[in-house]
Amino acid sequence: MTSDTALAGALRPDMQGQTARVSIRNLNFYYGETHALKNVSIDFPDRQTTAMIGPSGCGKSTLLRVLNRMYDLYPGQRAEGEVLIGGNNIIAPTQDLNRLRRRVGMVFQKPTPFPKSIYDNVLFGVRLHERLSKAEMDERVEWALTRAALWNEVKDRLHSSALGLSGGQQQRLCIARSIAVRPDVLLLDEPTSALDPISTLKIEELVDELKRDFCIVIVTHNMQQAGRCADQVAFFYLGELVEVGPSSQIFTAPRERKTQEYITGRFG
Amino acid sequence: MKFRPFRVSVLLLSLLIPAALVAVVFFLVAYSGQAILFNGLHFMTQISWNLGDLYSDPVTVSGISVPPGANYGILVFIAGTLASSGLAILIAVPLSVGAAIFLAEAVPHRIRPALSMLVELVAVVPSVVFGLWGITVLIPLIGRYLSPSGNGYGLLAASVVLALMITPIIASTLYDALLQVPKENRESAFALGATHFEVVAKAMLPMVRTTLIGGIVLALGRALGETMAVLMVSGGGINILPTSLFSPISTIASFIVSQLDSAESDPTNMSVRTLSEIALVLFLITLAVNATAKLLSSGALNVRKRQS
Repeated sequence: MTSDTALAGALRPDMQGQTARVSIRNLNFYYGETHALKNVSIDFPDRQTTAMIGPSGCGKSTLLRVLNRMYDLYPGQRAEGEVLIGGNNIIAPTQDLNRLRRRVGMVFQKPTPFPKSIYDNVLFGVRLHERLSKAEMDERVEWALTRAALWNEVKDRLHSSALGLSGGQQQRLCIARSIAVRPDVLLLDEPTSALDPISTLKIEELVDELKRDFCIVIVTHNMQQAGRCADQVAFFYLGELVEVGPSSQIFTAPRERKTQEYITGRFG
Repeated sequence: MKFRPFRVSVLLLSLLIPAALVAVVFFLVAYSGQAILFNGLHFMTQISWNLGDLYSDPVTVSGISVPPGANYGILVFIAGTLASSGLAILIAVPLSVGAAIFLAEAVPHRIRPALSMLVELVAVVPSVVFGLWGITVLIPLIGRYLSPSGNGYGLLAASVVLALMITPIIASTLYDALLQVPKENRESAFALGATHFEVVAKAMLPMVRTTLIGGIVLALGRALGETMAVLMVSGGGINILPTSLFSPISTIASFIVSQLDSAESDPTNMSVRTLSEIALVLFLITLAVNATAKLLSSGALNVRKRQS
């Protein structure tokens, strides 16, 4: 264990003994001239869910997009600092982006199924990286859809179009598609903001289930959601990490006044 | 009932367009009526085209007065039309898919509008300009380097000129569709570890498939009806079916133009009526193609979407 993570562990006693899957140190992010993340240092523990909360424009989605280098698609966006995943600084220019993104899955605000069958959607990422036999592919599809709590609903129509599914089913399909490549980290960017309450509940239960296997980072505007699914909550404001701690502590006894004001709805 | 001037005038104006279409069809059918009787259906399967002896007295065949020796077979022109348009599509599709992907995905944002406008400008170049380019540049090239006979006029030249004319149609349709792929869907493919090529080929192209097909069929409609540019480079083949890329051909549209002058000296007027009948055939072909395009781009034939 490095001294940094030991220190972080000492600050949060009940997190001790957890290995950090992702360690971020002194991360700065720029959209052109705009300084969007300021000196952020945070750990995302393995097999736990971290919720990132904060008002719009606070940098939480930006941080998510650093973790799989999605910002690389757009010129003028750059990150400085250290983001360690499995010991590698993934924001180094030498990082192989396709391999990184295979290990760091992402689910977006709106469901984004491809106009293919359910079966082909689940295997989209798998086929890019692995050569599997038909039996292995069938097995992987069943595994991913089962983990995404969708198998029972779609097992009889795997080869019909994914566009025929409901919004909530499509979002679970996108989760299945992301975990089918067996990533280490799963990023969820407001995954329920386009869904009805029942579908939202299903996704939350699913997140609770999935954290046994993955390191999950979820961005949400919904305090209740953060409280329900997260082990650790990080509050961002104006590009700075104001406070991070176990969700029980953040929601009952926040150390910072800004956090207190945000979670009680005084601004945001 | 209350008289509504706005509704009535708009209704009348909007009826003008279908009325014009009906009038065109009605005119074509009425004018070519005698020719349809004389030629029957088999004129579509005959190769030989002969206006007959326009300077002798007309003869009467089954009650219809025609020049002696007249025989109208248009298979050659149907074949020329379909071959040149089909070949043009084969050349234009890869070219325009490449151009559209390049514009939408590879060009820096700052110069993209200028480049895409250039592509659209190609679509408004008058066809006679394409024809002149074909005569001055393309024909000598084909004649010198490709054609075994040294003659550049023919199927290949017509197809290349047509391909250039329809490329911007397909390219700009596809380019617009690619730009409309939602940002999240594109990023989703990247987020799964796909390379840029895989994102375009495996995620984005399937999303714009119907639009692409619609664009291709629309372009096909344009190619089938194109007259001037084809007339200038096709070699005006007649009475013989094209056998190679370098055979001279005639398309229906270009043939009508090239024959009109001689046909008008026919005292029985049967030649002009037959040309009108050929025009009807071309009209039906393009109508079918465009109707297919409309169906495809409206998604009515997209069975995969309707499945649930």
